[in-house]
Amino acid sequence: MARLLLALMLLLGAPAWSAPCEVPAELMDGTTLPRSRAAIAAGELRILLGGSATAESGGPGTAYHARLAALLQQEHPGLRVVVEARGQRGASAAESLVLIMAALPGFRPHLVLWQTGTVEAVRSLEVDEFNETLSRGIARIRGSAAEVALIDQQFSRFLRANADIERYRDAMRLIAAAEGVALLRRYDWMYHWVETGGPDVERAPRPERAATLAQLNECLARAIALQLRHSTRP
Amino acid sequence: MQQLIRTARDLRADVFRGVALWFIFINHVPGNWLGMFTIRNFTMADATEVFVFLAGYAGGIAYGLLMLREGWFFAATRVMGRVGTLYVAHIFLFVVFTAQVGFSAATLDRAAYLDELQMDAFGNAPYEALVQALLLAFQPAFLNILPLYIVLLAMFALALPLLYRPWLFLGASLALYALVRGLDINLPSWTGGGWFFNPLAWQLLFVCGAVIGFAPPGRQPLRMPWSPWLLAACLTLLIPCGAAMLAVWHAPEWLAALPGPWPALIDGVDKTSLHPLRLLSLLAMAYLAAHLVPRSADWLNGAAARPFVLMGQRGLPVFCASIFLSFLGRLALEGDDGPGMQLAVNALGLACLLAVAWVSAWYGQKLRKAKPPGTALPAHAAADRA
Repeated sequence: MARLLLALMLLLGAPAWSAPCEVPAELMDGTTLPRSRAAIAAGELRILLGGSATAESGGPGTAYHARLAALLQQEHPGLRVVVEARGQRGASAAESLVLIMAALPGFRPHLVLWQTGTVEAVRSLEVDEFNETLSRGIARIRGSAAEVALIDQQFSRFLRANADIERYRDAMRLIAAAEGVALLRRYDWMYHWVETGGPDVERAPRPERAATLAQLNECLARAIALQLRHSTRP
Repeated sequence: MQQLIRTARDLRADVFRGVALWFIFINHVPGNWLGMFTIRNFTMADATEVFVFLAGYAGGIAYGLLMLREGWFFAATRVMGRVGTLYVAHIFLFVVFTAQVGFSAATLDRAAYLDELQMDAFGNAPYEALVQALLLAFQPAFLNILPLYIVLLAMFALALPLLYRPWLFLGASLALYALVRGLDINLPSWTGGGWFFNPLAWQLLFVCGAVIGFAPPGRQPLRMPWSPWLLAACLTLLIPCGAAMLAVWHAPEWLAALPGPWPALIDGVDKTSLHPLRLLSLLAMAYLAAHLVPRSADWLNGAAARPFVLMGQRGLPVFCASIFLSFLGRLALEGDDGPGMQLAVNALGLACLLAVAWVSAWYGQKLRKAKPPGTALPAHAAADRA
């Protein structure tokens, strides 16, 4: 019934509802983002989101990078916020790095959110190569004077049952810890939402799927905004 | 259960092997809560390293004895028989995996959000996938330990006579390891890159186990004597590595704050070609276990250890069963991963592993008793257990 109402609200074009998608404090990353903090203080924050399909998914207005921009804007009324996304379906870390690097000179972001790791797990790509790509990518993005944060895999029961997802999660956790970049724990967030009655795309009946997906994107945008608030605290 | 356990052997190796097999089951079921407590969380080595080392150890004992009594060709033939069994088991599990992915995908009715999950290398090119699977070049997720074990045993069959010259065996094995790591050599994989576990590097761990296990009559087997210096060296290795692994899980920002080359070092610890830190961690743990747990420790015969000893003594069937059961475990947790199902998966999983070990031990014992005296090969029983 609640889901039906939710779908109904969406159909009627209701504004962003308060989605049940809190993120517990222990799922927040403790790394700080000084450059982004300085950018906020200076009045303009440019964020580049690079990844595979989900970096560009969702209909107009619900794609999560747009929602992220809106949320940040709300939080910092005087701030000029620009969030751009570069995604491509099925892009591996190496391929999304190419997309990111191509966008760097023109856009000159303060912060790059690199969302990756799902495609590697799905295609059983080499973990060592994935590691290398991440290290190299982090160094190159930092070389352009931008800050980097990694966004890890999406949670999916199907993925968990059929791909060796833990290996690639471990790899990202290790790289993030070793390189000292923030790791936005999308996998744990999504799992937490699934557990606490939040959006669960895999279990949503077909007619509600679009609505659930929109809700998930809303939740992701909020969680990322929360993490950024956390990481840019003075 | 007690009468099925063979006590005239080193029960320590059996109990650790049994635990490693259990951990392999647990780690092959992502989402299993027990996964947070297996040794990979606080050491560089994980259950795979333990399994390969102890497989080498058991192989050194069993096939070494067989070679002493019946000659190299006979022992090598028996090893290759094992290779054949493992190969068939692997192909069976490959079929199970393919069916499982198909089943999951069909019930999921894939959502738009999951576009990236094009799991289906098999569906895209079924004939080629089959050929590559038969060549062991296509190893889907979770199906990479068996191919490793197959190649290790096949190499071992050829190298058996080197057991008589343990230092030469170790030297040659170390040289191959160094060469493979130095030149970045690996067996080819269909999905690009090399094998997930590079057998040409992992052989070193197997050989370490084999030369320690091989004990011909009248010759002292290779042993590292007890020394406080070695103890200190082991702890100097294991404690910082353990702290680093715990930090990765629980306090990554501490790790980043460490001065010096630590972060880069941890970054570079690869599993594929058995990074030296993994190798040394395992050897250090083995050294500590061998010296700190007396061979005659009471708990090895206790009720808690008994199931694991039995599982360790029936390594081959239990290993295959653990990989197979992990499929069912993953399917079950895909459907529901609440506390009830977690309990059910783990309790049933362990019970099934134990049942396989029990039946296999019982059958082996009956078989030996049924043979008229004189016809059984003296070393047959030993080789059975490797």
